[in-house]
Order: sequence, then C-alpha cells, then structure tokens
Amino acid sequence: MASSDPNKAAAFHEIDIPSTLDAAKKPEREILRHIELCGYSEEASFAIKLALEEAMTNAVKHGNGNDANKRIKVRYAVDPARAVIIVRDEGGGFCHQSVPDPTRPDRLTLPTGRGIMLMRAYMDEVKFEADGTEVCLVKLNR
Amino acid sequence: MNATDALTISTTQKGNGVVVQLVGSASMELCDRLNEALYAACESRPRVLVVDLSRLDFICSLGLGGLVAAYLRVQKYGGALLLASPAESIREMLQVTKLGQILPMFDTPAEALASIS
Repeated sequence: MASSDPNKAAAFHEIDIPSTLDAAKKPEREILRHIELCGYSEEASFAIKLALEEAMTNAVKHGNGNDANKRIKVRYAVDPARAVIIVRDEGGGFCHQSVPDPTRPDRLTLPTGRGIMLMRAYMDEVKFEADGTEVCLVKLNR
Repeated sequence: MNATDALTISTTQKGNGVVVQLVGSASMELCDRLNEALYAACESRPRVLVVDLSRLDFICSLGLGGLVAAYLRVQKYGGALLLASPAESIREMLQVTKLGQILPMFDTPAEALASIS
C-alpha cells in the first residue's frame, strides 16, 4: 500500500498483463485508485491517466507489435508526494530521440505519433530505459 | 479520473452537416469505435462534420488521431471538420499538440454549423 509518510518511498507494485489494450485497463484502474486515495488533483489524475494510456498504447502497438501473446510488465509506486510508473514491453526497443516532433507543420496532419510528446507534456519526468523497451513516468503531487 | 471508461457516440444529420456527439471517455480501448463512427459520418460527404465534445471528459492520442483522420477525409472532398465545446482539459490537449491550428473550435455545435453557410 502507499505510504502516508511523504518522506518514505512507497513500495512498488507489479502487474504482468497480456499485451492488449483491454488488459491494459487493469493496471490503469489500480494506479488511478491509488492516485485518488493519495489525494492527487483532478489535473494530475488526468495527466497520469493520459501518460499511462500513451505508454500502454506504445507498448501494445509499437513495442509488442500487436502480438497478444507477448506481455507487458507494469511497476508502480504511488505516495502522497509522487507517482512513479514503469511500463516494459517485450519488443526490440527504439531510439526515442529519433521520434519526430508531431507539432512540426509537416507532421501536424499525421494521425499518429503524438504519444511520447503527450507523455512529456503532462508528466514531470519521462525516461526511456533498456533500449526503449521501458518507459518510466514520474508525476509530482503539487 | 475514472478508469472504468465508457464512450457513447451519436450521429445526427443537421441540414448539410452531421454532428457526432461523444459522451464519456475516448480511452485507448474505445478509440477503434470512435474512429469507425467518424469514418461512417464522412461517408455521406457532409459539407461540415461537427464533433461535439461538450460531454467528453478524456481523449487519448488514438482518439486525436481519429479526429485528424476524419479531418483529412472531409478535406479531401472539400468539407470541413469543426469541434464544439471541448472541456478545458481537452482544449489544453488540442493546444499542446497544436491540433487547434487545423481543427477550429466553437462554443456550441449550432455555432459550428452556422459558421459554414
């Protein structure tokens, strides 16, 4: 459970799910329940839900290539001070620095490519690890 | 923010236009339905396609992509896609992604329809 002491880091929970968007709702529900219990604002809750959905969508579609036989591992720790969420897929990874800016005029009318940008815009920290197979999202409760 | 999401989509013909109202949450697992509904709304080639966002509380990038795909479809035959009354959180997303530059926003569906005479 999340700690009530802001100086004490919350323990990490771990959920392993099949690689589908439907299955991805389970960790989302759990994480948002912790977020609510810890008293995060509506804005922070919206931001976390958005970033988490973008990370899960990337893991399902791009990382695991829509292969429902693959798995996604979600680890998270939520306390009253901050939420840390780590999403890992079983894909081959990617170079996040090579993802083009979707707000560029020549890319604005493309239907895809906004996920990473939204994660960065709405979270306090977004880190890609393990050759891009893992993303770590951090949101501070302010 | 609710994680048990539902999305209701209704499509109404209004003169030369079509209004698609989205109610609930355009979450990742629901966006295929949203995109199919927008695709179907374009089939009659309405002069203006208005997407009423007044009762939508969440949209992810897949949903935004659906709006962009519909925008491209109506633009191809000379129509227009307009947005009506997005919540503040969604308006902010449209600004962050700069999609507000290509998807004009109006206070009400009626105003959006009236803008294309």
